[in-house]
Amino acid sequence: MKLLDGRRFLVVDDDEMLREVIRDILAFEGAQVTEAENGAVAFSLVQSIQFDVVVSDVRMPGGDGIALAKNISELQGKKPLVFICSGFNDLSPNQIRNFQIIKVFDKPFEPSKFLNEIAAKLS
Amino acid sequence: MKSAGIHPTESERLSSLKKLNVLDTLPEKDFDDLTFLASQICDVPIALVSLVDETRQWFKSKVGLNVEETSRDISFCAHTILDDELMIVSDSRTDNRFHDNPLVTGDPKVIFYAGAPLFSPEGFAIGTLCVIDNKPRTLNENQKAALKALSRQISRLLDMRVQIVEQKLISEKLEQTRTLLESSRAHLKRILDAVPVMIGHWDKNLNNLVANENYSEYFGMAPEQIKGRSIRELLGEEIFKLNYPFMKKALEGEAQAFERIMPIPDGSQRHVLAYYLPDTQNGEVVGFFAIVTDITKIKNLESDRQDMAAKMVESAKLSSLGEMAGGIAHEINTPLAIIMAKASMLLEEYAQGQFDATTAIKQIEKIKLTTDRIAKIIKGLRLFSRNSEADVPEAIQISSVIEATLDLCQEKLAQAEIKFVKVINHDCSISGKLPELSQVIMNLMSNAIDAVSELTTKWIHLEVTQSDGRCLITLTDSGSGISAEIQEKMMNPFFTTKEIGKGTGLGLSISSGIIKSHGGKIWYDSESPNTKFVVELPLLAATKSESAA
Repeated sequence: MKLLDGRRFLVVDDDEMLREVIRDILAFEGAQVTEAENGAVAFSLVQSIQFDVVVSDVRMPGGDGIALAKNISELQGKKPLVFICSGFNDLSPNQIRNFQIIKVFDKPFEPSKFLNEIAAKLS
Repeated sequence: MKSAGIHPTESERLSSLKKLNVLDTLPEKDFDDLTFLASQICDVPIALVSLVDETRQWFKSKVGLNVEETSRDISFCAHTILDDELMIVSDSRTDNRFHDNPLVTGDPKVIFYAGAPLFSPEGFAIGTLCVIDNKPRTLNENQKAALKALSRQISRLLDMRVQIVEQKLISEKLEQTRTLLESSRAHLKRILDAVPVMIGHWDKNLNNLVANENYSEYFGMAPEQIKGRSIRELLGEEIFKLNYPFMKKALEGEAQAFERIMPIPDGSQRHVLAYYLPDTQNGEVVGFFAIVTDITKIKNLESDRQDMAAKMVESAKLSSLGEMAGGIAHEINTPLAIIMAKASMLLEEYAQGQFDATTAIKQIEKIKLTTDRIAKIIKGLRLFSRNSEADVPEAIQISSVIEATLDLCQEKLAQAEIKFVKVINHDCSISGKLPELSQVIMNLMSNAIDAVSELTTKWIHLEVTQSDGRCLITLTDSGSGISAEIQEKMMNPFFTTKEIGKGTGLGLSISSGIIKSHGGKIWYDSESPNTKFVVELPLLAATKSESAA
């Protein structure tokens, strides 16, 4: 039994290599991972596919992570848990609370901690 | 009775008399003694010094008569002064000029009269020394000669009297002048001592003539103590040797100005500015004035200001770096996250016995590639933020400056979704300091990014060309230009259109200073429909030939 067996993840980052590595970490624990290169693409996917978790970067050309979190928080019905990975302190405590962001991971982060925190919120 | 006629040069005679300032003065012993002698020698009861003015004869001195004056028309003396000779009337009763004269018919009964004219210094007969008796008689030759001699003495006395008065006036004037001089000397000294400047006057043998208090204080003495001393003795051999060339030039007629750090008797040091100004009299240099100002405070301020300016440049540089910081942190943290995650994955796979060497090598290669991304950023940062004050300009390719700077701007450009185009037509070789030039490019990029971020069309175009021995770096953005009003002020320090806390207002002024120090210029192209800045730098070859020329 793996930590994230059967869970559906959406990984959003403009950096292809970072997307790849996060996908690998999650997949290693049994998650199904979809990728998006920016917030706008991600939000259209969220609207058509039922994800358990969205892990998003903040600064991306073509739709940032904060707007994505805001859009998701405004959705009706069941919605994915939103985690943010940030390379810089650009979220205010108000934004984190209002847009129902579960946690902000500061890049670089320890993969095991990252997995454990997400798994804990899912259980 | 016949009154005497008018003197032929009456008006001159009268003014000559007036000048003697003797009419209506008090009796004087000197005159009275001579009058007394005249009466004794001639053996007469009455002797007079009589001065004849317009209407009367007035007696400066008298013996045997108690009258101050008589009318001129009955005066015997008025007749005497018409001739330069002694006039003798032996018996006035038989003389048709005087027989019915009231002075003859009544008191004091002038029967005998002898008068010798008195002369003013200008030679006019102004009166007489006369002797009178109330009975007819004559004078012997000795008496006549004595009367003439006495009249000359009285004339001399009248002249001396005037001279004494004049002398007195002169000495009074002299005293006044001396007082005036003393007060103006004191005034001058007050001014000299009040000015916060050392003033010394030296003769051509380098001996002191005058020093103000500030000057003498420097030597720990009073101004009077310095007077007459030699500058060599006062300055001491060491400083004298340093200053002597300036003194020599000043004595040759050339004004000198120099700065010097001088030790002062209390052991401290002062920074002074000295002027040695030639003292020229009738075209000849007779000495020099030393005017010395203590500029220690100014010098300290100046060096403070320089430190401040250096700090300001540093702070502006860090501030522009700060504007890029978000992007830079993101640029570094993303690859770091990749490295950390990949390394952790490899460890995890190994721990779980799923380690596969071929896949692992691929991952490690990716890790290595990712570290290059970080290294590049760090290199740019190090380059940008180091203090380049002590650097010497070196030959650099303009592309290396631009690449290093753009590495730091890349993320911000991406975030703001700005279309960035870079065209390097000529990779010019220039001479300069990389960190400084990078700061200029960063500043222009940062301004352009801020300017277009809020626009619908966002682009920045950087182009490098070469023309006429100059390297031209042109930065154009999609903005629609800068208003004339702002153009005028934008190169000034502390001018900013950014909101408080966002800009120091130093960027362009510092950039302009940097480019100037590189022998180039930075200008705004107001002809362009878009916002366009041009940085112009001399090419390396041009710099070399210029410095050789």
